[in-house]
Amino acid sequence: MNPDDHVCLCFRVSQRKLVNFMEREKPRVASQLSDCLGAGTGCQWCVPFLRRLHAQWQRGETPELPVAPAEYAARRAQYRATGTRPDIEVETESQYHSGKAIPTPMPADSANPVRIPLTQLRRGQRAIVDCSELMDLPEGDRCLLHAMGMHHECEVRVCRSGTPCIVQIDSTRLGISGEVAKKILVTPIEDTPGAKA
Amino acid sequence: MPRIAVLGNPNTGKTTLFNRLCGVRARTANFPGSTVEGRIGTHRSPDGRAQLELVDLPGSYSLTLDIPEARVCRDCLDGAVDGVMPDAMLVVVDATNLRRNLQFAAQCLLHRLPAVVALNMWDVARQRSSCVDPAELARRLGCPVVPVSGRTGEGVPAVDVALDTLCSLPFDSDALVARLQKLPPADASPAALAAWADGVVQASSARAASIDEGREAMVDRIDEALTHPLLGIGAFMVIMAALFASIFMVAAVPMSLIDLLFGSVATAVRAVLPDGILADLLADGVLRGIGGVLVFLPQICLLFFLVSLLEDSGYLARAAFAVDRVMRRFGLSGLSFVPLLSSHACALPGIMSTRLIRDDRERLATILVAPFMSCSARLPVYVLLIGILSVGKPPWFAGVAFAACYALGAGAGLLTALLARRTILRGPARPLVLELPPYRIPSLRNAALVTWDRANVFLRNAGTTILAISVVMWWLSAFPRTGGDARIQQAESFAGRIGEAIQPVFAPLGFDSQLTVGVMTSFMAREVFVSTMGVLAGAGHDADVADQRVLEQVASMTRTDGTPVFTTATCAAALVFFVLAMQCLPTLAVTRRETGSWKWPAIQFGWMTFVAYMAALAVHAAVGMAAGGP
Repeated sequence: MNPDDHVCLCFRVSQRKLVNFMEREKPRVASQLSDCLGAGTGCQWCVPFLRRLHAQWQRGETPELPVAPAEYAARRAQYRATGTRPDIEVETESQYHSGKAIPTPMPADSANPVRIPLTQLRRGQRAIVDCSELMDLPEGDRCLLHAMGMHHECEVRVCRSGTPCIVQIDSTRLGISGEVAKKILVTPIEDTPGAKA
Repeated sequence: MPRIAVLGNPNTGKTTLFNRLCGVRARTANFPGSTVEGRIGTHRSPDGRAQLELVDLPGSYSLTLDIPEARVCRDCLDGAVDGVMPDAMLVVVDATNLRRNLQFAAQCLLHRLPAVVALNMWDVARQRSSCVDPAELARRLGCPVVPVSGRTGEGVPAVDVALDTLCSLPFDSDALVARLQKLPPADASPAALAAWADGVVQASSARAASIDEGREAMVDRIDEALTHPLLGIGAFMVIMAALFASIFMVAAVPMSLIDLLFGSVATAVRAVLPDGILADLLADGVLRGIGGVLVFLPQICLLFFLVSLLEDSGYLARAAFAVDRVMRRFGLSGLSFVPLLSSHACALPGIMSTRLIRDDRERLATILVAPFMSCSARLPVYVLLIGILSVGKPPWFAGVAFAACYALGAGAGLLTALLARRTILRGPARPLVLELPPYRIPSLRNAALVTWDRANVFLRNAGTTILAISVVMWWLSAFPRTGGDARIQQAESFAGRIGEAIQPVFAPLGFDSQLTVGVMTSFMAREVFVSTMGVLAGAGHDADVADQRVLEQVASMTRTDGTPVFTTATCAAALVFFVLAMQCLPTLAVTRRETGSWKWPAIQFGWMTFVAYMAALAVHAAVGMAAGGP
C-alpha cells in the first residue's frame, strides 16, 4: 500500500493521515486511532490493520501494510458480504508488542480461494460461482437463479461489470441487478485471455 | 383431438415453432387462477389427415419452482387445465444452450407422458459447429429427438411426423419405464441435475461448440452501452421517441379513416331509416360505439407490433436494466417502464402489457398509475382548453402548457406509485434478474401473429364493454325526448339533469352547469368532452375536432348571468382536472379484468378523482388570486 491509499475504506482515511495522526497525537493504544477521522469505526474491517500500523509506529518502524490496495479492497468486500475473515490471521495485541514477525495477510491458495463479489470482476474476466453464500436472497430468487443456469461452481464470464452485472454462462447472458450480484461470491480464474485491466 | 403440451425454457424459440405449426389457428388462453397466458392452437398435418391441439405453455426455467409460469406448466401436465390430460408433450430445447435446457427437459420427461424433444435453433448450432448427435441424444433421453429450426422452418415436417407417430401409437409403458431410468430422480439437487446434463451433453457431442470471441466482445460492448446509466437511458429515450412518433403518425391515417367510415355509415343509416328512436340508437348509440372501439385499434395494433419487434430483437431486456435504477426510486422496476410508456398512447394496451411484471404488487402498482399518463384521448381536450387559455399569450405558451400537462400526469403517476408501494402495496422491491436474449433480426411473422392475438383479445374483452357504455351514454343523453334542438336536448336529458344536480360539487372549481355536463359526459371517455362542449355552445353535431370555429364558440360561452364560462382560473382548473382525473370507463373495465376484482378499479377511480379535484381546486384558487378576483 502507498501512503495515499485508504486504510479505512468506510471513512476514506489514508495511511498517510493515520501516520501523521500518530506522530502528532502519540496515541497510547491503537483504539485511539478512531479519533483520526473515525478510522475503524465503520465496518471494522481495518481494525487489525490499524493495530498493526500502531504497533509498527510504537516500535519505531516505518508503518506500512504489505498488501495491494485492490486485494485489500476485495477482501474487505468479502468480509462485508460474509461477516468472517477466513483468510486473514487476526493478530493479537501481545503478538505486536512481543516484536515477533507479524504475518502478512495470507495469499490465496487452492485450499483457501479468494472469493470476491461478482460486481468486482472486470469485463471479460472468468470466475467460478460460489452459491453457498446466497442465503440472504429470498428462496424464490435463489432457485430462479439456479434454474436460469447459475448453479454452484459453474463458470461465468463477466460481460459488464458493476451494476447491473451481466454475465455469460455457456451461451446464455444473464442480467443481474446490483443488489443480487454483490451477494454472489466468485473465485476469479487467473490468466484469463482477453481480460481487460 | 389429441392434445399436446408444448414446453420449454424462455427464449428457446418455442413460440416461433408453435407459430410455424399452428399459424393463425391459435387463440390466447388464460389459465385458471393465473395471470400467465398461453395459447392453444390446432395443427393439421400436411396431408390434412390428422389434427392435433397444441397448447403453448409459458416459457419457464423450472417445473418445480413456486412461480406462476412453473405452476401453469405443472397444472397442464397434471391435467388441471380444462380437466384434460395432455396426450403427449413437445419439449423444445435450444441446441445452442443444451446444458441448461436439458435440465428443464429432464424435469418435463419425468412426467409419464409420451414425448418428442425438438432440438430448436439447429441452424445456429450448426454454424457454431457444435456437433450434437440427435440420435445419441435420443438414446440418452429415451425419446425421439428432432433437429429443427423454427426461424427457417427447416425440420418442421419431421416434427409433424414425430408427433403423428406419437399420437397414433398405443401407449408404450415399457419405453416409459426405460426413459425414467435414464433420467435423474425427481428430487435431484440443482447441482446433480446440472452434472447429469453435463454428462449427456458431453456424451452426445463430438466437440464443444466454438464461441466466436470477437462477436461476444462486440455484444459485450453493445450491452455495456445499452445498460449504461446515461448512454442507456439516452438510447432508450431515442428509441421510445421514435416508437411513439411512428405510432402517432402511422395510426392517424387509419384512425381518421375509421372515423370517416363510421360517420358516413351513420349518415347513411339516418338517410335510410325514418327519423326516430331506432335511427338515433343505431347512428348515435351503436355505430358511434363501434367506431369508438375500433378507433383505438390502429394504435393498439401498432404498439403491440412494434413492442413485439423490439422484444424479439433482444433490446427490451437491456432497456429494462437501463431504466431500472430510475424506476426503483418510485417502488417500480425496469419491467414497469414499457407499460407506463405505452399508456401515453392509450392506457388499455399499457395495462394489458403489465403481464410481463413478475412481482404481483409491483404489477398492481403499475396498473394503478397507468391511467395518470396523458393518453391520446386527452389530446383533443388539451388542444381545446390550452387553445382557450393561450389567447393573447406569447406563442411559446401553448407548447409549455402541453409539456406541463404531460409532466404533471407522469409526475402524479410516479408519486402515486411511490405512495402505494409505501402503503397498500408495501413489499420488498424484487431485484431484477433477467435473461438477456441474443440480438436477432426480429421476425415480422411472429410480431404479426402477436398483434393479431392482442387485437382479438382487445375486441373481445374491452370492445364489448366500450360498446355497452356508449349505448348507455347515448340513452342518458337522448332521453327523455324533448323534441327541441341539440342544445335543449342536452340540457334536459338525463345526462343534463345529472350534470345540473352535481354542479354544486364542481362549483368550487368554478365549473358552471354546462361545463359540469361536459365533465360528466367525459367520464365515459374523455374525448367526448370536446363534442359535448361543441353541442352546448351550439356548434352543431359534427364538432368532434377542436377546430378554430369550435374553439371560438366554446371560448365565448356565457353563464346564465352573462359572465363568461371560461375565465382563466376555470379553464386552468378544468385542464388540471382532465390531466389527473380517471375519466375512462374502458380503462376501469380492463383494470377489473386484469386484477380480477372490482377493488382496484374502485381505488383507481376514487384516488384519481380525489387528486384531480384537489389539484383543480388549488389551481383555481391560485390562478384566481393571481388574476385578482374569482
